[in-house]
Amino acid sequence: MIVKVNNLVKRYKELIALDHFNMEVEEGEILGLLGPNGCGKTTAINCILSLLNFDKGEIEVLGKKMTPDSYDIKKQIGLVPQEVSVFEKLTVKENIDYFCGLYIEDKNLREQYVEEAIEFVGLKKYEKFYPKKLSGGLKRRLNIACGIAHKPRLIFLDEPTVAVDAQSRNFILDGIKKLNKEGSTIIYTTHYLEEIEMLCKRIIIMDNGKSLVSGTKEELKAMITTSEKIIVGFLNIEDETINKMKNIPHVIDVEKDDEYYIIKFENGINNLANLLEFIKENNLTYTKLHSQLPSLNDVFLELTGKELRD
Amino acid sequence: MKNIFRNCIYQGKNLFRDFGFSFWSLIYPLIMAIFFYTALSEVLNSELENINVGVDSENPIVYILEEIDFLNIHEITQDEIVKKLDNEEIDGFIDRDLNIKVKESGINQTIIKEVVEQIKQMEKLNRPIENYDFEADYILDRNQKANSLVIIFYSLIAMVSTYGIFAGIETVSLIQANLSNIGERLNITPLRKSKFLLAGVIVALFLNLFANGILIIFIKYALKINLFNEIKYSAILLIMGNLFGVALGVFIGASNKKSSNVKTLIAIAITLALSFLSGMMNPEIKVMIDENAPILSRINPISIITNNLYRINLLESTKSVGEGILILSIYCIVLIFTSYIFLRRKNYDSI
Amino acid sequence: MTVFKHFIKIALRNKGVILSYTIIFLILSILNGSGNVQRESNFIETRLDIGIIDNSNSELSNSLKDYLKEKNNIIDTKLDEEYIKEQIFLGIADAIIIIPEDFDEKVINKENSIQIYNDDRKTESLQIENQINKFLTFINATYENGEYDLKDVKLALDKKTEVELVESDNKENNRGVVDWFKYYYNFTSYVIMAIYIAAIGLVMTDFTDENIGSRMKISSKKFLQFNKEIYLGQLTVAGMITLIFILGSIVLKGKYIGEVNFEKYVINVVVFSFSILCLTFLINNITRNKFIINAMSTVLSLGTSFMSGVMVPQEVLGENVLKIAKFFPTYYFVKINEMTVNSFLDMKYEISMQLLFAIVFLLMGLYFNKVKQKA
Repeated sequence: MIVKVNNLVKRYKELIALDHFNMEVEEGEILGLLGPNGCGKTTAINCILSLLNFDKGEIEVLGKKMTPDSYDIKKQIGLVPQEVSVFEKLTVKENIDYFCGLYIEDKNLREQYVEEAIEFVGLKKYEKFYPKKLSGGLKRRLNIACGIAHKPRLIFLDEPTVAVDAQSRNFILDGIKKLNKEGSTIIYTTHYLEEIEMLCKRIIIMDNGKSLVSGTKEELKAMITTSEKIIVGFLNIEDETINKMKNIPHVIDVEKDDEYYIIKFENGINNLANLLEFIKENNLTYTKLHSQLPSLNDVFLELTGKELRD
Repeated sequence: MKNIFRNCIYQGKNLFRDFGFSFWSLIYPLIMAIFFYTALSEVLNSELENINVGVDSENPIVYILEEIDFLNIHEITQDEIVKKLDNEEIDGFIDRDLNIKVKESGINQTIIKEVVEQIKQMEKLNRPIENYDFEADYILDRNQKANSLVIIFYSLIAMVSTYGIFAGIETVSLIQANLSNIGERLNITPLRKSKFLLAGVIVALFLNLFANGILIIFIKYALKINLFNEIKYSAILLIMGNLFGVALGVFIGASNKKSSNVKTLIAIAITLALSFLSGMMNPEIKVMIDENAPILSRINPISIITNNLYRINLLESTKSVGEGILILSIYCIVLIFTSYIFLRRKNYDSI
Repeated sequence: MTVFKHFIKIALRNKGVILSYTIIFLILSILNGSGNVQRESNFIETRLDIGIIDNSNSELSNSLKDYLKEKNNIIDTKLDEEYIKEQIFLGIADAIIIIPEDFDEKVINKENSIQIYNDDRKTESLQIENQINKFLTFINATYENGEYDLKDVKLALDKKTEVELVESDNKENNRGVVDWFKYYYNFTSYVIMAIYIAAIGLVMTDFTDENIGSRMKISSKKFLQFNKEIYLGQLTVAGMITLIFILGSIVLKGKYIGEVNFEKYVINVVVFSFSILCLTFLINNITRNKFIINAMSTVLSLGTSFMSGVMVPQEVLGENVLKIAKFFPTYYFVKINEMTVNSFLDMKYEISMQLLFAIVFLLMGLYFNKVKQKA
């Protein structure tokens, strides 16, 4: 375990920000910390990094208890904070060099690392620019470069793609994968499902300061009862027929969404065949029909009862 | 050590390139000096002016008055008196009975009165005229320029010597995780807070001393006002002023969670108010405080610097320098110590 | 009125800073204006502040001291050159006189017998030297058979002359009070400029920080309506600040209000406030950079004050300085405070100039605002 968080509790006066939060991270993985805005993701990271006091719980990073003075642990960590946190009056290159220099004392090695980081985030053209002159997406890339230039063993990325254009976003996500391939363990927080699906092997879903579940994508999807959704549009159908539809084997629920019906099935075989049979028997005409496997959104919805959207 | 040096370079760059720094530390003092100079140059170069006396042309006293070299005699008619007085063309009018008409009480009027009285008194004393020896001078003149206005310049220099205050505020805000994003980031690096702060203080002192140097050179060579005759103590005082400024800045930065906007305002207001009390806008304020509450001017850091600067450089007196430096040192130590207590916290209740 | 309400809300959030700023400056104004406000109805001889150190303590030196005491205020001093020099330097004493041990002898020989520390560029120095020389000349004039006639000299010196204080047409007769109000209100111009720009600038930067500006841009609020509400907000804050200063003068010198042209000061300060508010509006439309705003606050307020005769009187300022000063409303504000106003017409030119500046600032502000909105 590279990070181990056990029953972490953090209160802001009345508000409970973290409520017995648990997290374990294996060396070499990309862990996604998923949850809506304000669910406590950043608070959790700040506690793990010893920036914030907490009320209860244990935190171990790289096998040791994390304290504000754990300089040996800090040497192996990189943080990409949610806000762009760079010196306004230092250029792109100077910023990266400054932060890298806090870890890497050897001048030649540092030069090499800084060059690599600049290449890595694609800011070569902009290395003499001041942050103010960069677009939002480029600023984010600089923000990342400052956090990873020293090739840390463990990297925390706190919503690095908020308010970023599509091009920069893909660039960033590809970069993260590359970092992981090079051996860094990554903890990635976001409220974007697509990113998590694309990046992470393992996911922790958070809500209201609690870690609800953790597991691989497949494991999480297997956890919920709905395993398949078939979406159908009918030309002519009566409520009575709909009710009858619920008697098809494995059907859990039928919902109407605009002009389409969403038929939810639990795990089973021949679900589609059974439905087609039913359609034939009842002389129904359908306009559109497709099957959908459950998404993380379904998982989230089922766990928390709310949609995961901005 | 290498670490601190590297931090100095980068923090220095970050500060020096900042408009706020270059304005407050470099440009603003020069602008102020120019303002003061334009406003005061005539006052600074004032000369003794003669007193204007109006007399009736028929008045025999004219012959006596013309002998007195500090009087300008204006022969005017009766009906001009009030108008000339109103327009301040004459300070007073002497009539044939040696009575005087004036419009206000003042030093010039008093001197006219004395002159007229002397004529009357000589009559009364009733001694032969050859007994009076007006050539005799009983006075050994020890001239000491009364130049309280020059205090304005010393006060200005004292004020800007504390302008490391802004860099102090900035440094604290950069390293405190609960004050800035960069602080949050820096707090999870292996960089020790104390090193960053130390580098910040060194940079602030270095840059502000540099700015002070420019101001002094400007006053000396561009405005041609000679303010520094004694270098050693003056330099020590300026360095103490710099230390005090940075320490106060660190204190303001560390002691509250207000925005940097507000902190800057606080810093400006404090330095301006202390400078005002030390005589920067009106030296009479300083004299008034010296008379009524001398303790204030002994404990006001800007006054300490101002007073000692003019004493050392214009009055050749070094008596109070020791006390001043001691008091400033105490301030610095207290400010740094209390700041240390605020800054010691390494993790926070909220960010 | 959402914009207005929001503006006031931010202003209230910053009330601590704005108030302490105001109070600091109010205290400065009070200190600056402190002084004597006695009514002057007779001619009063100017008494100098002198210090005397008598090393002789003879009959002669004592009678000289008596004579000087009669004419001047004696202040404490000590036989310490550094101390004496500082007293002269600061203007605490007009002169410090040191009478030597062998005073009598030196006087008979008409030698330079008395040491005087003073600044020979000052009229006061002339006065004190005249007094001493006159006394000693008289003494020597009575010298006969190795003796002075101190009694005769004293009798002669008691001879006075009449001085008549000519009444002028000016209704503001009480110089002291008039001066107090003049200094107080002159200084207020510095304060108003400094606080308006800094405090309102602070609120405006907060306003922009919260991105209200851009939200408003896309909302249905009309450009003029938006500016009107912002301006109303600024007017409210500014009005409060000016009010504090007007009240300050009433609290401090309320009982003398009848003796000065109080309406003149109030009208003038209101007009001036208005024109500076427009200046603030302009600055806020040029920049939202807090450093530039703070810089402007200090430089403009101090600069115009020095050039326009707030800190040192207009009459001692160079002509070129005043030429530049004419491009700022402060010059006209100070001018009204300095002059005798019998009716509104007396100050119509200066008032119109201030209003003209207000309009120019306002129009320029609106222009820059428009330009920014398009950008």
